[in-house]
Amino acid sequence: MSALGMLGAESFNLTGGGDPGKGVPLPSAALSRQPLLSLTDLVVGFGSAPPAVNGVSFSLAAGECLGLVGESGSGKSVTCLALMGLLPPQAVVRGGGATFAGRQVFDLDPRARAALRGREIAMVFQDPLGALNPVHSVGWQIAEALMLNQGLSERQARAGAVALMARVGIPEPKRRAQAYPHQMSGGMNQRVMIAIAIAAKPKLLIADEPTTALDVTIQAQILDLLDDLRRELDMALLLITHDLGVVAQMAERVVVMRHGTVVESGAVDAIFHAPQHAYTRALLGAVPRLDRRVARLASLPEALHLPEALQA
Amino acid sequence: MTVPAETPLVEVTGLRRVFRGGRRASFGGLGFGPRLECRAVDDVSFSIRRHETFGLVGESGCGKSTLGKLILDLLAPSAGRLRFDGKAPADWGKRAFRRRAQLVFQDSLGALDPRQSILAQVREPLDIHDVGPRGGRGAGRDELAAAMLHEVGLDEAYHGRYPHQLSGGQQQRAVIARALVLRPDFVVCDEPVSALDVSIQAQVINLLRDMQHRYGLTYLFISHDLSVVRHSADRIGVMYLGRLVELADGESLFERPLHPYTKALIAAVPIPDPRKRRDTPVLRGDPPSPFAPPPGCRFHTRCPHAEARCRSEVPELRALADGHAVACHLAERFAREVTA
Repeated sequence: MSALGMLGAESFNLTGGGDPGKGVPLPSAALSRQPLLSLTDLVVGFGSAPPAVNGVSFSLAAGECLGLVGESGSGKSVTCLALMGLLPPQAVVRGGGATFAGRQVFDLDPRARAALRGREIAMVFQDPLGALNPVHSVGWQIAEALMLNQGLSERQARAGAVALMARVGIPEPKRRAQAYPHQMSGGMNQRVMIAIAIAAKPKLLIADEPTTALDVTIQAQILDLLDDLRRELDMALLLITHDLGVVAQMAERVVVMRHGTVVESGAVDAIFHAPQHAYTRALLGAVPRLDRRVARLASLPEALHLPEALQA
Repeated sequence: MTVPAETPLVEVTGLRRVFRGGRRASFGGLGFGPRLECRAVDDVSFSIRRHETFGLVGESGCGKSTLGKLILDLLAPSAGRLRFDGKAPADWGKRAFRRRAQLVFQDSLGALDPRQSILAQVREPLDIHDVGPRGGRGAGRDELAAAMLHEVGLDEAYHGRYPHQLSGGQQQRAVIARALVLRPDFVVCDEPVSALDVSIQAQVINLLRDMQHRYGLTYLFISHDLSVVRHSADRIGVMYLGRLVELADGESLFERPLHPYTKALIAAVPIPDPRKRRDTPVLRGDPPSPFAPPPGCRFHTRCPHAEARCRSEVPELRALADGHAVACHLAERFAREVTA
């Protein structure tokens, strides 16, 4: 492995992955950037159940797009909710640390964490209709974010909301600002969510399955928008998804999670073209692809499938 | 059987289904106008051959599930004709038709009865259709149901379980077992793997294929996921706003798509390979509302090639070479470009 590779393996050591020699070279662009966020040995548990997130470590450079992939129950969403301080009450961060822009996130008092949320770290969820308020116009909901996070007056904020709606590609923004979420399509609502998220020009945008509920042609538009905004605002993007296609198209680096641990992480090209972990390989073999037809999809061996605790 | 083998198993001609919406046309903004109509399926004609998997793709609201329900006679068509194995479903008789044509749903938990064990649910179709030996505990039908469950990979340990005690993949296996226990000829699979994780999805796709080979099944495979359809289907129909816009065998459709919508759809699919990154998306904006479809070709509002004729004249689905049919005024030109 090259010197660059060793450096990559060292600075992004994976506790969940076991063998640190599995570290994959980072793209040089990512290396030259300061880590904006680093998670170390994060453990999150729900009640007395085995931890949902068990020793997850990864880091993210400013302006970088990191893909967090895994199947349902792998702990990818819980990891991000822990970082945001949005865990449900029965879930507890049992260990590990998170450093964001030089601050220990878990040591901050609730007020400082609230200030971080929305201003420096913003989040977009899978279901925009569920995340938006049904009794306020979408323009008002964007304006509200501008008033809270930027301290704009109502008048300035309403004008700002229309400008943001135009930026995220909503046609006739002035008229649509008056519309309520139920009057808009799923794709348009997701654009509204993105407008709210970028209102404060955050340093990090966490997008949790942002296109899973959308049709494929709308998905392509939303992904394109997120990528544009990331470059324009030099905003890091943490993209949580189960869709390996979306990750391959968007991410610079990828973290593969399973059962609360990181099984593999590395540059996107290495993950897709030289996967080291059996689970990553199995997952890639299980996806039907448009660009090639195989006689039979790979099935994950049962042993790979079950959590270790359930294996005999 | 008097019907010659080459008769398609399913044949629909000019099928149409109109839903009268609760929404009213705006009358001076007051919403007092006539009730809006939605042509969910509009003048669709095609056939499904014996033992093939016919894939039906399209985005939400294009009418693909409505078409599936029409073909199963679960919805009455507003116009058009359905032939199953040469006869209308009514001529077969409801019970006989149901026995031969079954359905696998997307939402397996919703499709299963929460208060019956898996074995009882797989047995129920046998009771309804009076198949196999009558009898109580341990006799004939339970064994038939158990054998079916075994075939889909649910062994005895699962037979007494209730749906909520199974994983999503296991639930879908149970739904498949229930659909196949009557040994149907034809199964409509409506988004059978959309709710499943990638690894489970692969298992269920493989299972459906194994069952097809074992029992000589014919599938109508409905999905929004082009990659899944490409993998599973022999021939594929693409729907847009209630109309079939392109129909071809899988290879031909994905290698030489002719309808601009099919091209845009294929281009929008993210390929799981970072070395094949997509350019900027072809289609801008949302599809029009099915309550107010545009005149002429329904795709003309988003089509990069639209001409005057496309805005007024509805293009018919017409066959070009080798069973490749396209509903586009400019299809011949695109076909020449492909071969040139």
